Order: sequence, then structure tokens, then C-alpha cells
Amino acid sequence: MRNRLTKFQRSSIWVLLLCSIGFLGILASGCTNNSNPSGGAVDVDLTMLSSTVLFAEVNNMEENPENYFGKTIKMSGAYGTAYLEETDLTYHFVVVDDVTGCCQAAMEFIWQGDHAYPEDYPEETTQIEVIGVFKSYEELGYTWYYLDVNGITIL
Amino acid sequence: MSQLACQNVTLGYEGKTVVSGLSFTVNTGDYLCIVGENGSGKSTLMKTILKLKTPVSGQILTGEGLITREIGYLPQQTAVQKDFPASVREVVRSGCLNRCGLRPFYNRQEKNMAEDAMDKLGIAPVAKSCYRELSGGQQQRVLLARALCAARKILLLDEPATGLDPKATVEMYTLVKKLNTEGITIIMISHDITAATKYASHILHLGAQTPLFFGTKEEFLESEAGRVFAGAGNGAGAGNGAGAGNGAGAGNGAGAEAGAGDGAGAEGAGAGGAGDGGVRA
Amino acid sequence: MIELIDKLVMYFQFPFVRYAMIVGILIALCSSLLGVTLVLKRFSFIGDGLSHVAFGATAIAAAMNLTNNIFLVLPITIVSAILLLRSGQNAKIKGDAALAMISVGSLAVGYLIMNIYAKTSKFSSNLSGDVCTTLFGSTSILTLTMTEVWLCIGLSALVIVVFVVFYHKIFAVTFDEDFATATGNKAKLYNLLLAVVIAIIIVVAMNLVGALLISALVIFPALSAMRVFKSFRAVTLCSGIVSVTCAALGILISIIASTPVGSTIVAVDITGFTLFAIAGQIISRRGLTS
Repeated sequence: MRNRLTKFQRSSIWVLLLCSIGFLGILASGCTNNSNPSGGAVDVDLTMLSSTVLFAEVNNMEENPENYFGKTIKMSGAYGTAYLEETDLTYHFVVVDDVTGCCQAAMEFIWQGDHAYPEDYPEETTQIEVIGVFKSYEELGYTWYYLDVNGITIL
Repeated sequence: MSQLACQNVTLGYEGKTVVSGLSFTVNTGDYLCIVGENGSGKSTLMKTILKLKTPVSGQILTGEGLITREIGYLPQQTAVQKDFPASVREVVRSGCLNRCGLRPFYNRQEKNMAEDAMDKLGIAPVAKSCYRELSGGQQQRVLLARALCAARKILLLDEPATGLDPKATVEMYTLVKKLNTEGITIIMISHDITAATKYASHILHLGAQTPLFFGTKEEFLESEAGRVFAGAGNGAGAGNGAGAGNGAGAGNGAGAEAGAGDGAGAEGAGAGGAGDGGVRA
Repeated sequence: MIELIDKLVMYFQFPFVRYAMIVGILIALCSSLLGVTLVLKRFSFIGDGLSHVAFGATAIAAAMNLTNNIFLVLPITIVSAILLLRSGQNAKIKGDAALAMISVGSLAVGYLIMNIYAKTSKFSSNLSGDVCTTLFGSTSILTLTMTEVWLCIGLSALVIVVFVVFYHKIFAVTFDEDFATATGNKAKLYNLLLAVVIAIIIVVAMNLVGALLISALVIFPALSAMRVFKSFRAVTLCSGIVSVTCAALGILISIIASTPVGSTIVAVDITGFTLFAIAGQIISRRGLTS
């Protein structure tokens, strides 16, 4: 006792089918490559991402660091610092906001060579870009992830 | 022979007693009409029979193996349903749910039963239509078809003629009577004393706090309460009570068609005297 | 257009984008299916109330330093759902005041707890960030861990299976609970089941759109479908399809255009509803029936 479909129902089912196939295609394309977009000397270029994805990706890098060790990452954001009493050191970060502006994700970077803080470093919250290799170190009983960079480009 | 028995039941809600000391029995094949004024506890009684409410005291016994799965129920419509997106077929089929148990889908037999019920009530042509787009009379018939699917032995109807025009009202009562002759026990709440005396086999008259009458239709028409009620309904004066009582009997027989034409079910029209229908309204 | 597709393909290289899509679609599907029942039972506000309770429970879980807060949040929400939906129509009038009290109370107490906890913890947590994320979803769906993804998939699958198996019973209990009880069905049991399922969906959906926007996910697809379709089955199917489409579109748009995921999905839902409302008007004027 199936009802016969009206024209409207039939055409809408076709539209839906086509959309789902297209969509699954896009989804599947991601499955072929389990790691991250590549190009040139830079293995992972985060500057091309929308801020929604950028925030998530920085988060992802810290949650699943195995995928990123040894890769060259290019990243831009606001420059920020943090000072810890326990170590009497200043740490340097590239900071990205999430879209609603209420959360930040920060990627630490270490500038190789002899550089004095604050003279050689830019002002806080300046937009900067860095290219560096993803590494980690142990301190205070935790593992910290950072980018090993050779220079800071001020945008 | 007794399918349902109320023993000394007291009903109430929110601390107020509505009926007390109610006792009556219903046998298989009976057609019981519950009448009474607003607030006399008719709906409460029906809900208590259906175990939707519990009595304050007393008990309601079911006999002859009557279980809830064999009861069909036509409740008053709720606001929710008037706007519900459901096809007629879906609504009627939902009556078969009590046969499914844990089974998730209806089988062929249940689907056929739904089709039969729709045929019987003349709503098969609108089976695919949306429930909310039907007229009041059609909606009642859909709900009655649903009740039929659920009912195997007994059918309870709560003011089935509400919101129906006179023609639809007569059709509804005729249909219910037909079901009764096919063996289904009927318990119906009605405001319409004329219809009650016309179709029912037994009458239960609830009054303020105490039940006024229970017995067969004939006994009712003879009784004090019956005469007043039926007499007032016919618009004849109390003095003509006895005459009106008998006249009602005759009038119902002969003037049935005329009465129907004039809008049976409307209390104002007098079954006995077509033109003289007093204006108790 | 081509570069848009290229960009999308690029974004889908990221595993968290794929997870977000999968989880988002499943959540949207589940909430829209149950949304039809909720809207018809006139319980549309339940989504809001329960999500506030879930927020309060999340705050407590944070204060207790639980690693996976779902083990506290889910039971609390389920119990609240059962209490609120317990007596169906009877409790409705008393229910709306009770719901308002619980809803606002949980929100306030939850925020209070989070504040106190933030001050006394060793590592200062980003309080406003946490609150913002829980209430508005933010990017929480893009930062799911594998455990969370599997949990979402498992719970969604459970909800869908329950819905399909109990479909006719859900219909009966939604259309006419009194009749269902009177004719011998276990209507109270099905109501209980509905309450539990709704609680599960709300807790899981908080990941997608945040506590404040869940109601939208539940009611908009159902309302859209009801503008056009006339049978319960058609409305349910359409509601599911609309919800999935809007969620998918919303996620895609927010990824490309850098907008918050939750609000974008709701914005797409609203657009969808407007389209369906217009379509419904046109169809009824032309006298077409489906």
C-alpha cells in the first residue's frame, strides 16, 4: 500500500541524493591523506586556515603531537609572553583567538641564538609570523611543545 | 455474565467528593448510557473505569476475562490533536498498538483491521488526508475507527457527539448502535437524554453527590428522576410527565425521522411534540 | 567555485574536521527526530531547561575535577528529564513553573560554582572561556578527543535504534496518551524512555551547539517539516533530513567563513525554516496535498 510519490517528492529525493554523494566524496577525499596539508619547505602552513579551524588545529597539535614532530610549521598570530616564577624565565608565544573571542590557544616558540628580552622581541600583541620545527621539552614534570624558529617576521 | 461491576465506589478529585456510594453492573452486550449534569462526575467515572484514575474508595471489578487490551476508548478531543500532523491511516492504525506488544511494526492482520474499521465508518476515501484538515464529524469518526481497532469486547465513549452537526450526530449514534448489535458492549457518556433513551439498554443517571438512578431504559422512563429529566428535555410540563414519558416512547418510534430531521440530539426539540418542543433548551 | 571545493578538500584533510562533521550530523539527526515529539507534546522548552541543568552538572563536574564529565552530567540530566516529563499532560501546567525554576537555578548555581572553583584551583583555568564554550559551543566540536567521538557515535546509534523500534509507540503516546494507557499500552514506560533518550541527546548535543542553542536544534527542523508535510512519518523523515542538511551546511560555512559553529548552524536552521514556511504557504494556496 505504498503511496505514489508526487513530482515534488521525487525531485527532492534526487537533489538530496546528489548532494549526499557530493558530500561523501569530499569527506572521503580527506580519508586518503591522514596527515596534514603539505607544500614546499613548509610542511604545515597554518596561515591559510580560517580562524575557526586554526584554533582547533593548534589545539589538535598539542593533543596529538606525534603527527607533527620534526615538521616545519608556519604560523601567524599575536605575540604574547608569560613569566613563570618557578623557573624565572619568560616564555614566548604565538597566540590565536577562537572565533567567539573568549578562548585563546597559544603555541610556544623558542628563538634560536642569543636574543635579549624585551629588546630584541617585538611589542606584545603585535601580529607576527614564525616558521619553525615542531619539538618538545620537559620541564617541571610536564611535556611542553614548541616551535624551534630562526626568526620572527613582523606583519 | 457481568463484564464490569462497580461496588460502592466513591470518586473525587482535589479533595472534593464527586460521587459516592455508586454501584452498578454492566453485562456483555449491554448499551449503557451515563447521563447527568455537568460536574456530576461522568468523565471522572469513565476515567476511573479505564484505570486512568483511582477511586477514593470502593472497587471496580472486571469479569469474563476483560483485560485493558480489549477496551476501546473514544475520549474527548484535546487541543493537541486538532493540530497534529498525522494521516488518518496513521491515527487509525495506532489503535492496533495494544496488540503489538513488543513488536515494533504492525503486521498484515492489523493493517487489514485498520482498513476494515475505516471502511465501516466511511472514512476510507480520506485515509491519506491529514487529520487536522478534516471536519469535526470526520475527525470523530477517525477516532471511533481507532477505538474500534483497539476494542474487542467493550467500547467506552466520552460524549462522542460533541461538536457534531445534527446529521453527523445521528450517524454517530446509529453507528454505535450497529456495533452494539454486533456484540460489543457500549458505555457512553452523553448529554443527550433523548438519544440515551432512544438507543441505550441501560441508563445510569448521576446527580450531585449521589447517583440518582441505575437500571434499564424502560425503568428509567418510568422513574421520578427519569420523568423529570426526559420530561424537561421534551419541553413538556412536569404535569404531562407521565404522558410525555409514554409519548416519548411512541414519539420516538413514529416521529423518529421527523425528530432526526429537526435535529435530534438537540434538547430543545421535543421528540413527542414536534412543534411543541418546549424551550427548556 | 573550484577554489571553494579545493579549500573544502584541504580542510577535510584535518581529522578533527571530519570528526566534527560526523558527530555534528549524528547529533542533528537524533535531536530532530525527538524534536517532532517534543514540539507536538508542547514540551519545546524542555530542551532549554535540561541543557541548563546539564550546564550546572558540568560545573559541578569541573569543580570535582572529573576527567570525563559525561559520567556525572548524563545521570543528573536523565533524572531531571524523568522528573520533568513524568506525568505527561497532567504536569504540564505545574511543570512550566518547575522547569523555569530548575532551569534558571542550574544556570546561576553552575556559574557560581565555576567561579569559586576557578579561584581555588592551582592552575587558573580560563573561566569565561569554559563558560562560553559550554553555553555557546564555540569550537568545542572541532576539538573532540577520540573517546568523545566514539561516545557520541555510540549514543547516537542507540538513540536512532530506539527511535526506530519504538516509532509506533512514540506516535501513540504523543498523539493521545490517555487512549494509549486506556487501551492497555504501557504509556508511562514509553514516556520514561522518551525522557531518558531526550536527556542523552541534550548532553551529547551540548558539544555541538552549546547549552543555550540546543532548543533550536531540536525544534527548528521539526517546525520546518510541519509547515509542509501532513503525515507523522513524512514529518519525521523531513525533519531528520532538514536537520542533517542544515548542520552540515552550518559546519561547512563556519569553517570557511570563520564564524562560531553553533550560531551558524542555528542561523542555517532559521533560514531553512523560513524557506519551508514560504513553501508551505505556496502549497496550501495551490491546494496541493502530498
